[in-house]
Amino acid sequence: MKKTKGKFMLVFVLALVLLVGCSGQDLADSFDEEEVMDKAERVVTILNEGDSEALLEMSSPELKAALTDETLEEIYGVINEAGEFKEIRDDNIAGDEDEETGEKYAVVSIKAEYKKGNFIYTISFNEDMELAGLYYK
Amino acid sequence: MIGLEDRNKKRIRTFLLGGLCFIVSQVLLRMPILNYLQGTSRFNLFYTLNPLLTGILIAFSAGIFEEGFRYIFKKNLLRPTKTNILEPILFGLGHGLTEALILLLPAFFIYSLGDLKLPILERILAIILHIGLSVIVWNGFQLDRRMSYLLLAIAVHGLTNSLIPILSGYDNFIVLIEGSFLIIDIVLIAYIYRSRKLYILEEEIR
Repeated sequence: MKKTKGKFMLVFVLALVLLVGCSGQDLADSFDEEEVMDKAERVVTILNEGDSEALLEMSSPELKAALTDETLEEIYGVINEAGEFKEIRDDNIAGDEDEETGEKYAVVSIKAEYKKGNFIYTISFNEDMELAGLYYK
Repeated sequence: MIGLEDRNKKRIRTFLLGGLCFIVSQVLLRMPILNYLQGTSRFNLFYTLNPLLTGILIAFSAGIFEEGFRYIFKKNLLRPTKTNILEPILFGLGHGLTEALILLLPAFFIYSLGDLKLPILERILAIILHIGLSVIVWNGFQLDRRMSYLLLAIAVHGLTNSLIPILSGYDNFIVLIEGSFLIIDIVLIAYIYRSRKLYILEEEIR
């Protein structure tokens, strides 16, 4: 009985550690962590300012194609509804790799506090440090 | 000798404790913890990089919380240990109906009954699942193998819920998921029927 109880606790603790503690792969050597974090925070500032030109300038060709005027307006509209930007509450960084192409990415998750609530941005950069992915919720 | 009135009171209490078990394990504990985690950048990063694994871990967390509390409720609030099979059935029914009410009640104010056919069917299947899971946990008490059956219930619950993230990528997701739940329920009904012999008859309690 004690053995089974121990196994149960081990599974439970492992699940929690996995859920809370892990953040994905290590960042590839081709990325500079500080540079990635600075650039990710710059993306949040750009979104808060609604500066489409700056956002498109740092985006990869694929993302540029996806970020149409309509999409950008929609993004700014949702962010504006949250009110005034206060601060970045916490952030985390990890590496990722496209299984098909082998291309490496740096992925940053940023929790930003606004007057009426929080947004979590997931921002990814390719090895050329172009903005390759942008999600928010 | 237990009178009819006492027996009915005991049944109602068992049913209500089933509902309370859902409220404590999910509404008061798991959901707030999950909401907290979902509001952190670390969790979102992990989810972005490992969506399937995260989905499976979330599925198993429901099993750990709900089955863990089912076990705690049976151990501490539902005596005696050896009972008749109506006890886990009523407990599971209370658990499943409370979940259905909490999840579906707000939708009744927005949608018509016709629009809610599929969610209602899904909840009926979930209620049967909860009855089956209660019987699994209770079987552990009848056989004095409590931890083994608790682990079995967590595994069944976790694997059943894991089908949602596993099958979500398929085009006919709804048919696949509801079909899978139906098959699991049929197996559990057969399991409940076969488990009857592990329980004492109601006449023996009197």
